[in-house]
Amino acid sequence: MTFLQQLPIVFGALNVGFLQTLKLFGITLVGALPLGLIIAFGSMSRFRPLSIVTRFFVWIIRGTPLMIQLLIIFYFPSMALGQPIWGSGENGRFAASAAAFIINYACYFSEIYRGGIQSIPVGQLEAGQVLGMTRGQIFVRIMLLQVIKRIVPPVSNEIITLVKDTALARIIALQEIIWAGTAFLKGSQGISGQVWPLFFTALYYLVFSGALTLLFGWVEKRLDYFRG
Amino acid sequence: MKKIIALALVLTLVLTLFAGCGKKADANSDLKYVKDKGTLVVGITDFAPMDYKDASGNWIGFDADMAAAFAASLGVKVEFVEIDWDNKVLELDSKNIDCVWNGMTLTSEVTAAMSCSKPYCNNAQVVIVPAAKAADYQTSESCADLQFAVEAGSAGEAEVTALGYSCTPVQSQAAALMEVAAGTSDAAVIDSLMAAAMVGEGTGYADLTYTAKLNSEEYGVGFRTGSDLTAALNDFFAASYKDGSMQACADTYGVTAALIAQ
Amino acid sequence: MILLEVNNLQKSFDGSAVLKNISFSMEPGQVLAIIGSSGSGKTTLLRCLNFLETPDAGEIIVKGQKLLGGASEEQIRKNRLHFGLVFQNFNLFPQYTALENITLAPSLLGLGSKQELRDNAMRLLEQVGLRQKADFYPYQLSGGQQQRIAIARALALRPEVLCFDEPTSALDPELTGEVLRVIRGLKNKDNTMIVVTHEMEFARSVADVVIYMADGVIEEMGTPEEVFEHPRSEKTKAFLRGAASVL
Repeated sequence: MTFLQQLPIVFGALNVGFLQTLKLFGITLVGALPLGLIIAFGSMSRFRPLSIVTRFFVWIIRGTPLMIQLLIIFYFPSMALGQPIWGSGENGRFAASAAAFIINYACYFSEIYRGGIQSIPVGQLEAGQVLGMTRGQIFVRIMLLQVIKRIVPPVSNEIITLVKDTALARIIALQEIIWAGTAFLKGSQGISGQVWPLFFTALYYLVFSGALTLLFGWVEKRLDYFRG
Repeated sequence: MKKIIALALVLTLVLTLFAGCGKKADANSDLKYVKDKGTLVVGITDFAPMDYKDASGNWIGFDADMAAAFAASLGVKVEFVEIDWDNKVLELDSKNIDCVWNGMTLTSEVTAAMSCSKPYCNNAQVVIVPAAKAADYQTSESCADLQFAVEAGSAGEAEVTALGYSCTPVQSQAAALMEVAAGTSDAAVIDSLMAAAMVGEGTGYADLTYTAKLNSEEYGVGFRTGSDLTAALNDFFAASYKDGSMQACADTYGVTAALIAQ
Repeated sequence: MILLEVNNLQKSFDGSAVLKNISFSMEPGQVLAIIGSSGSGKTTLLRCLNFLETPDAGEIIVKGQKLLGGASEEQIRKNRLHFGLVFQNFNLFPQYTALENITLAPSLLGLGSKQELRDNAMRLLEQVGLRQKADFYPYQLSGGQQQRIAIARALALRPEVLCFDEPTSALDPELTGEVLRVIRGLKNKDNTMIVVTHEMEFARSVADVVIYMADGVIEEMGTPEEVFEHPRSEKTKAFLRGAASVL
């Protein structure tokens, strides 16, 4: 098979793999960004048992490799129950990957949120209080935008890491783009021993994270109109 | 609630460490379990000529076709799932797959962790060298000074280590081939069936060839420990060898020479 | 007529009493200046009046209505609206313009139509001399200008008593004058105010009543003349001598 004949086959497979990468990336953000806020409120709770348990949970998740969490989430419940719980085929693997990534990233986001919220001077809260605002109004109208401005750089850092972390899901055989790339090394669809498709996957990541970098730059610029 | 989750996670971590040791025989019949759900889930990797995709994306190959025929004989559908080869025992035990049917060498580690069928195919570990130098390395003795690349934990690694030759363990057999192609290792040791499909003229590694045979070994199919599917498969193999359908299938994929009489 | 009555207010932090039996009362339009060295409890008193701290005991009565007691979150929020507070560090909201800082709270409380609130805010900006800065963000303003915006923001809710917590302490000396001028202007418009300050000259000239606090008690209370010219307590005398020597 000539290189030109290989090209469409390889790109077809890489595109399918990258679609899976994007799906995992997207669903992780949709789940982890709000869940992180809930965990952040838990860890800042004045009800001590809740904050202790939440911080302990965050410690466990941040203190263990995501790869191990993927293996545990996918294999362990099924072994314990003697019944596969994640559904069969690619969908089950995707569901388990999504669960592991959402939990893991929510914990990282929660710490960024907590740092952001706690870095806002207490005077802002008190100014809202003496003006008769409710807790909800103070959070939404006063704190939120200031917190967002402060956390955009660390959150965007984390999100760009997520783009590449999605590759870890191949440990439970989620067929994302790295899996698709290595397939041609091992031999697939009549192409074997080819390392260039794997190297080519880097280009996909590079272009995607480049687009994200531009997006975050734009967001930062949009928040540049005030300081503090 | 969160505390329970946290505790469960810690327990899970600990238990997973022991999961490899604690094999439990299924109380209920595995055969019945598969028949009840109506699907035989076959764990595979992309591995020509045993399991690979045709142009329209369907799984074919000697193993794939035989697995499909076996499922049909049970009256269930067949479903192929690509797995990470390192996790094949986990996949079985968590019931994400029902068998490993992918040119699996019957090593002592494999037979200890799974219930395995009778061997159905011969295989050997062969030395891969650049074609240009092949003439110098036809015997295992002549390879003594070479730097080998082998798949970590593979039969090939065991053979090279037993011979006392120096070797670098790498991620996969494909990666071992890459080492030779890239010149970072002098030689590799991989399965002969894989070598037949992946090196030599008309393949991705046209400049490589295989020479010395280090041992001979056999392929089998793996089920959960204690599974009664193993016996069912042995019967199926015997029947299809007798009526010639197994030989016909082997002919299709060029593995007739390696087939073991059932 | 009594507008504000404070009876036996007590507050302690970690066992050490910061306010011990504070009692005083104010008539409408009066200006009360509270002086004293740092740690004397004067800021804590202001924070109690604004319900940023919860007193351990005592009463706060506004127009005959007792504010302490059944303190649900909603009740505390309502209590706070009787008072306004201008902070030492202004605490303007950085993401809002000067105008938006002023209109935010009234609009959340539904105190009028958008246009009414805006017109009122512009009048207040006029009053503090910053009409032309309406669309500036806090970081674009000097400290003195920020504090004047903060005063306008507090006035927008028409509090019965407006409190100032050392309103010029965070300012460069050349910027204190503009803020003090604004406060003096408010007195002329019959606003009832409590000013915690280190500016003795200002306290003397603007206040109707002066309180000198030391160690959590009201050591001396009276007209500026009584407190500054004829202090009875030795502590007050010592404090005033110290303050004078700084000047």
